[in-house]
Amino acid sequence: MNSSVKSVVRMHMKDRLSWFYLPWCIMLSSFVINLILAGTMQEEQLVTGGLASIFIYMLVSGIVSVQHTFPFALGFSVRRRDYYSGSMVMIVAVSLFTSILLCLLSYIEDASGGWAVELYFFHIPYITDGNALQQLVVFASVLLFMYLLGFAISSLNRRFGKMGLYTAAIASLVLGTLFVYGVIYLEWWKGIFDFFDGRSAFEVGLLLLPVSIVLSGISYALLRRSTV
Amino acid sequence: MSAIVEAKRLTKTYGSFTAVNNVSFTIEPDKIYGLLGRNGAGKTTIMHLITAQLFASSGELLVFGQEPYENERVLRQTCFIKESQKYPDTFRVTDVLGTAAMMFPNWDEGFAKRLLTDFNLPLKRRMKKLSRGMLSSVGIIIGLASRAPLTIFDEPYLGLDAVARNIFYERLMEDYAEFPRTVILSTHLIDEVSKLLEHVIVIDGGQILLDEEADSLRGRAYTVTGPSAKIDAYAAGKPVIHQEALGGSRAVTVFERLGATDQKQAEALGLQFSPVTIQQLIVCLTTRSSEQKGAYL
Repeated sequence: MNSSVKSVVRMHMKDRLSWFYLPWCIMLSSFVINLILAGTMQEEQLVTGGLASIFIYMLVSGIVSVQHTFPFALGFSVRRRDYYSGSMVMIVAVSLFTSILLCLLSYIEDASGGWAVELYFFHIPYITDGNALQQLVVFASVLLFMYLLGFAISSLNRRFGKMGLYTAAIASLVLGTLFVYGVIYLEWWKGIFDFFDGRSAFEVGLLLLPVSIVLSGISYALLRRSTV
Repeated sequence: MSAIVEAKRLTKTYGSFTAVNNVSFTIEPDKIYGLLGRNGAGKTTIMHLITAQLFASSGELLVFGQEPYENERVLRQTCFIKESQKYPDTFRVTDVLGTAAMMFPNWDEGFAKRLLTDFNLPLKRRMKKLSRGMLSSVGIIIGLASRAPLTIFDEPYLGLDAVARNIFYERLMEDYAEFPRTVILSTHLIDEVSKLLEHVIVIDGGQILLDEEADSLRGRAYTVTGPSAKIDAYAAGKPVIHQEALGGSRAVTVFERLGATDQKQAEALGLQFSPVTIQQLIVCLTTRSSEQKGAYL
């Protein structure tokens, strides 16, 4: 890692609020509410989707991050390539760090019988079926994918402006409609069902990685020609 | 020593609008340049091109002898302070200065600290909450403390009061004397900076109107005042760039060096001379060029 890439990582590190405090505050407040609910219900176990908040946060974070830090870094004479590399290092590190915490919480949740009130917030059927390493891969891969999706959207905006975003939105709407048509009328659903049937969350997580890499590559191509 | 910036036939177009039109100039090392011109003249675009934050439509541009785009060696030596600089919403003054300290290899932390006290900046305040003037001071601190071999200031003191602007001029001159570097200063307050400038480039309508040493510019034009009839006789056939009537008398600004014969002729007629400041000269030239393209130049 050259010194400029390191500086970009350290620039990101200065924003601990956006990278760490905020996502955890949002998710943990959802957790606390669920904990109170589970405590008062008493009867059955409570499985919630509150965990999704951190993944959605990553999408938003990817969008906001390019918007705020790209013009800032370029204004400080940083190369586009170094900005990109530094941001990628940061997001991989954050994804891994967040995943480790999530795995730990998932383990504690399971071991403590859902925090003694049968609340399943981090330890969710299918998602956390595998061993610790597999769970880590699932969490990290989804976090990474969500962030990079946001990063790519924001890079598109940086490169082609609003028109670029509109064009992409319309194109994906058309493609999405055609795809749904294919799924229903051309019976693609059978193939899709067969593809996912029996695959663990771990395998799906692995399959998501190349998609993330493509998103990352697209972002780089866009940022390389972006101006401030 | 070779040139710091070399632009040849540089052009930047946005659709049908030409922001910078076929511009060629050279920036030499260890000098303070004034890049002057009216709003929308193309100054900011040129500075963005030099720092590879914008891409030229055509032409050639070398900075430190190389193309600036994605060029680590060039960019490491460049610091561009602009009025429109964006900062992350969550960043405080201390975060921004800390980032600058990492990005600019010649950063002087002690100097930055002294400037912080000079400008009275609250370190812990978020950038979002700063007033326009404070925002400008952050830029000035970075521009000075980074000590980049090529430092560019684009309208660095929007919202700053006269006292703070004076601090900027003083610190710039003191530090420049100790650590010579190339400075490009773009501003509307030409009178204030004219004593700082060693070389002046005037841009108008995307083209270079004037590219001269500041010293030689100071004698480039003069104003004569006197009764209208005598002034008319004197000014006939001379390159007049500006005139003003005041009752029966008239003042004309002539764009040429005052020669001995002219001076004698005028004194015989009883006319009065006054020097023209760089600001007056540039105002005359840029006002004029929008009416009558490029006359006398």
